[in-house]
Amino acid sequence: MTFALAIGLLLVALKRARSVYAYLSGIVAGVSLYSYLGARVCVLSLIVYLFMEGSIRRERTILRHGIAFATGLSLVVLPLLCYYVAHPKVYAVRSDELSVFNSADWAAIVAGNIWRHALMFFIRGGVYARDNYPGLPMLDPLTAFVFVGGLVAALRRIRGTERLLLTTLLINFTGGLFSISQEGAPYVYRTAAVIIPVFAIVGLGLQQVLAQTAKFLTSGQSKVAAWSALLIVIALNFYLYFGLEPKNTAAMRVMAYEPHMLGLEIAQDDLPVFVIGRDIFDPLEARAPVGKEYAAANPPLILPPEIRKLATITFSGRYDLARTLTQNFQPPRRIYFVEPQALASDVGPKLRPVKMIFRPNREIEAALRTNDPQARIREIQNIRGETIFTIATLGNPPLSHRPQSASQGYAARVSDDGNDT
Amino acid sequence: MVDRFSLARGNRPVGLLWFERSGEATVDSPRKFFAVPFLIVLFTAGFFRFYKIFELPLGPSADEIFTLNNTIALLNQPFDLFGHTPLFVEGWVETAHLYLYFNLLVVKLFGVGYWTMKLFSVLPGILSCGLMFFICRWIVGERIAFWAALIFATAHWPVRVSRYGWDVSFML
Repeated sequence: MTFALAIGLLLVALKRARSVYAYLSGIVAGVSLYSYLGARVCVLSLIVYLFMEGSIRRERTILRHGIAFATGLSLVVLPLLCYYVAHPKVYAVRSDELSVFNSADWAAIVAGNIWRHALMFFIRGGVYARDNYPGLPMLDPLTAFVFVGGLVAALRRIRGTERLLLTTLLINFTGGLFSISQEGAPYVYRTAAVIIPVFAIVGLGLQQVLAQTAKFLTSGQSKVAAWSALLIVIALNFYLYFGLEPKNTAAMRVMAYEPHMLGLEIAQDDLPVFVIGRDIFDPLEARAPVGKEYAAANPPLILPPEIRKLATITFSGRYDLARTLTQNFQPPRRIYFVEPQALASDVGPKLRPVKMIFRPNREIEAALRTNDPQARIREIQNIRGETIFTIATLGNPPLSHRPQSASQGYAARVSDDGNDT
Repeated sequence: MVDRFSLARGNRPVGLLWFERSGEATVDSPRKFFAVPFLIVLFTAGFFRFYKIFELPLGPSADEIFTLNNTIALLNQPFDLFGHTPLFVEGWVETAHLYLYFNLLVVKLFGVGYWTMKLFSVLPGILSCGLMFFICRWIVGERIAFWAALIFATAHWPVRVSRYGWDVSFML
């Protein structure tokens, strides 16, 4: 959002010759530095562009734009800059970890990275399942074709605008080209900022394609063809995300799939929930399956159990803003984390209606069925069809099963607001 | 306007054109703001970013969870935009306080939940589509800008980034 806005404002500054827009662009670019680390490269690309444009055109207007941009940027970035001056080690913690220059054969790695990033639009995209359906090109074939058309047009007719797009495109690749991590290039996340110039260049490409088709099609035919192509692109991209992503099994490993499913199940209703067993926060898939494509690029991300627990609580929709984080964490509202033993003595629970969630466990399931034949038991399956959780919903108990005293089991000792009574 | 469609550049090598001292392109400045195409772009972007948001992507990334937790932690502190160090967490996920205050606004409006955590990325993602329309209007004019922005709003790459991207979506 901030990078697009900074480019947009800079464009307006160039077109209208008004430096106030360059000043605003600098402010927005400065704000972007308070987000993702890669914003440093975005800002650098804009500075390089202004410097280059000033050197090439040698016009006072560009110089004014450059000064205005630098002023806006400096104002916003000053606190961050002071902080980095006071804590120099903090500045490069993450970039040092990922730097390609940590490796002895960095030149070969950079050469490989350049090649793989060049292919990412058309042949083989990012392979890390969080960022992409592994291997899927980052552009659909039609958009990629138009992008190439736009790129050629921009190179053949370079003005200030085209220079801006090409500079930001090239420089924002550096985050990917000079880094290395286990999934291997292309690093589509670290080069995400190229999205803005890429699709602006697609706009240039569309202009070229329409100009070419206008030579042999009438205006009406041209419009029909353009709209048809656009609808095909939209449908294709709909499939590339909503059709492929549900099959992205590697994403289950690299993302917090199970806490997400658990939290959303709890959020389904307002029933008290018993989450049973410590193993509920152990990921089912602790290793990448051998022989699967891109398995090595997508090792499981094992989050600490307390983070999984906190994620489950926050996703459950039962986080109470009036309470502190610690208060919400222990105990959360109407969510009870218990061991199976606490229910074993008398599974016919006292707090009704209630929902119980546990890892597939025949003993608990059998005990629940014996004590409450009316219990509704169902399974939550992952996208491979494997059962990851069992859900038992117990309705209101028959009169004969209602607790006589508060000592009949764990559940009876827990009041409705989650506090032991 | 017409000369922009021409691909002919004589015998000059393409690379040297980079340093040509040419001014701005001759596309007319868009004079008035067309609300209808802009709203269509935002609506399409919203559909592609909200549709099945609880199911896809298959879960949150670790960084999204940490960002939500950091935002919640900030919730219990008094509001003081200038009373913090710029970075909330140093190192791996170098979350900045300014970004967390943006998230805090979302949390205040929508509460804490999976949906809210996704809004941290989805809202800037939708706005980026509107901005793409705005950028392309200045480069290629209103009509083609509309098509380019629609492609951007629906392309799977930006859609992915908007649906899981936490601070990268804010940056874009």
